[in-house]
Amino acid sequence: MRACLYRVAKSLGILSLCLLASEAYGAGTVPEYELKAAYLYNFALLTTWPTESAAPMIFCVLEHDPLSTQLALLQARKIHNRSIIVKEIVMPEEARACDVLYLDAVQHEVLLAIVDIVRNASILTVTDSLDSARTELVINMRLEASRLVFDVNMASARRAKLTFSSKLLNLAKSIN
Amino acid sequence: MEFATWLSYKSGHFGRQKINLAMVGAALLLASVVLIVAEYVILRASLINQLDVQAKIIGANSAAAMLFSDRNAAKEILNTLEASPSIDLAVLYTTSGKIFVEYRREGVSKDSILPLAPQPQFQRLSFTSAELSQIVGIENNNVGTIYVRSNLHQLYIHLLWYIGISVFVIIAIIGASALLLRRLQGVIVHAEERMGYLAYYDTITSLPNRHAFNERFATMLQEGHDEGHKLALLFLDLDDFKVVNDTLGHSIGDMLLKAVAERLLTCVRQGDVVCRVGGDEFAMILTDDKTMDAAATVAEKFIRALMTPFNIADHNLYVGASIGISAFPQDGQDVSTLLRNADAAMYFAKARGKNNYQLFSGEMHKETMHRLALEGDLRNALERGEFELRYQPIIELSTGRIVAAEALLRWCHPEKGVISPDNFIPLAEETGLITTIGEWVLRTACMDAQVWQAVNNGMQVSVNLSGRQFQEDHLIASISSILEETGLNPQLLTLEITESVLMKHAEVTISSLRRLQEMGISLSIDDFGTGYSSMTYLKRFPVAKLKIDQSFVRDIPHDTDDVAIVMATIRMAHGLKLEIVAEGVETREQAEFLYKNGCDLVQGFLFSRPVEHSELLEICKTNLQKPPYKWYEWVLESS
Repeated sequence: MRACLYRVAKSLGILSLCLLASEAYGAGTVPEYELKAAYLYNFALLTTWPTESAAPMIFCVLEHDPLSTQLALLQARKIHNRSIIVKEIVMPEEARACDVLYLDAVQHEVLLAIVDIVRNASILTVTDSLDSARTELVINMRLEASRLVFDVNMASARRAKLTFSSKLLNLAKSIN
Repeated sequence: MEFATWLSYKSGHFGRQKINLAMVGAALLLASVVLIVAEYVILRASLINQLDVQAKIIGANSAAAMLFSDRNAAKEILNTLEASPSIDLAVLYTTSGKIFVEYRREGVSKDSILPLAPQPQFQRLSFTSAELSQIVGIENNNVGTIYVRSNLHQLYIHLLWYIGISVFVIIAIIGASALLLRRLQGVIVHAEERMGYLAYYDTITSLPNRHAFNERFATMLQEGHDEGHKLALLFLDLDDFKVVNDTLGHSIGDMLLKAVAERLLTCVRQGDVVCRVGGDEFAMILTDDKTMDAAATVAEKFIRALMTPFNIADHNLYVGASIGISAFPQDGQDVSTLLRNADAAMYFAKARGKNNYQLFSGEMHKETMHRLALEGDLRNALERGEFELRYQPIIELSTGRIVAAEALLRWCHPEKGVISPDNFIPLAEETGLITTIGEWVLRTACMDAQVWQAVNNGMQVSVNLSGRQFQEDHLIASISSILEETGLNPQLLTLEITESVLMKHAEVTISSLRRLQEMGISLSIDDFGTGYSSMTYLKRFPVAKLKIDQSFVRDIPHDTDDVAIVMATIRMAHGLKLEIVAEGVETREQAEFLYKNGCDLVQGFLFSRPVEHSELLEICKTNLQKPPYKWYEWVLESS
């Protein structure tokens, strides 16, 4: 929440972004987290994991992440016919069990530990801020010209053995 | 129907041809209209199908863009529709029904109303556009709706091409069939002309035929009647044409007819009509108010024209003509009467010895009527039992015995009394009655001969065969069946054939004569010396007897010529190992002469007139009671 507020403070554009996104997702203003949760869902929808599984898809956020409330709402929906479970993780090791991992306001040391753990695992890692440690994550969301856009790190995706629908790649702002 | 009628037929054909073409055109047009309508329906269906596919592709491609609300990406995808020129409008709606992005073909007016919030899925087809909308989704997630509208320009252009090609094909087909029909029509018209020609013209001489003659003559008579013209009808029959045909063959006969026709045509004037109305019969209609004298002049011209021999295939052929002439209006008012009268006159000309002409007269009519009456009576004579046979004994001069009898036919007409065979046999031959009469004579004679065997065993019977009978195909069969029927030994039957008949059909006759000879029947040449005999044939004919004609016997022994002839004949007959019979012996001098000169058999009033069968039996009995004696003794006794 702080980060978001910070960004709102940083740029007025975020409001318009929220307004824009709200058009696609029903009436009313869409709060930032709702939009991000929807994006997470969409990313998962257009991603293929290397092993097929019927088990529920696990979406992870770090404990106390402000997104977790919105993310929990996704549990009502399905992806690739799999139900969704949202987990808040405390220990970096817990990240191993995730299919999708959202990393936002996290301390640098914890981040490094998690990145280390998930480096070679088939986990779709998503973040929304750029710093050097996060370059190994798969998708990075950011604001550009008052729109929420995203970049795809193909090297990380390949390491995680994840493949993306071309539609997703078409929409990505940059691929590296 | 004459030429004029054919011509109107012809023009009728061309009218019919037009109708045929119109029918073909109409049928093709109808077929094309049906095909075009069907094509339209198919094109529309396929357009909707294409539209559906395109909407699906665009929808699938833009689903992710909609997920991420990326208008630019969605717009880019919609812009790919520029490649599809028929799509005017495409709109992506959000799930809430708001326009997400839209695509408009360049030139599509802005005021084209954008359908707001269409039903999620529908298809609509009008005459100007096709439109549909469908849900866009990823997996089971509904992300929006796509709406696409297509104009029908492509469809109509396609349809126009189709119509154009159809019209071209129709025109091409009609053109081709018109060409074909015209050619076919030519063939048909030609064939019909040929048929018309065949119906009215004789193919051998190229003259109008009997059918054409009847029609033309009727027309001319009508005109003559209306305008008081005179007409003459010449009926020409070639003499002895049949002989040419029989001996030299039909092709020579045909060539002769053609040559005759050509010569006849040189003798008539413009307006006169020459037709071939039968095998060797021609009819000429002379117009221009000719009198009977003028007609006679033309007839003479005809006869003169035919006198020069025809040179055909290296044969010099002579044909004579007998011509009968009747005149309109005095000899008749209609075709059949005039033709009948001309025919009657021709018949008289022929009877007069051929190669001449006769004008029809009332006398001829009477005679013709008489002939017709006689003919009618003759038909009934057999049924009414008016025929009788008389027998004249034939005596062997050396023994005085009756060795044979000649059967002679008599017709006892109920009103006209006894009619001699000379008067009715030709008529019977002409009408073909000779066959039945001949069979009756033969059967009766054989039956009677069988009876007299009881009185005078071995006595033969002689029966005369006419020329016509001899030509019958079933003569042999008929004779053998009569012999079988009556049980008479064939050795006891002698058939007498006149010299002229025998020589006329010499080649045909020989085989028939051989058959008869094989059956055991004797053959005798009657009236010997009156015609002209080929000695070659005489040698080859399987005959047993010669009968010397009574004309030679009549004046012996006083006429030195007759004496010489009779003596020579007897010597010749004996030389050829033939028996010789003298007929018409009436005096002792004649009999004595014949006896002295070695004649074998005699018959005549000196010995007996022709008698009835019963009387013949009595004469035979008397003749047999005496021992063998000289002929003169027998004569003395009977006289």
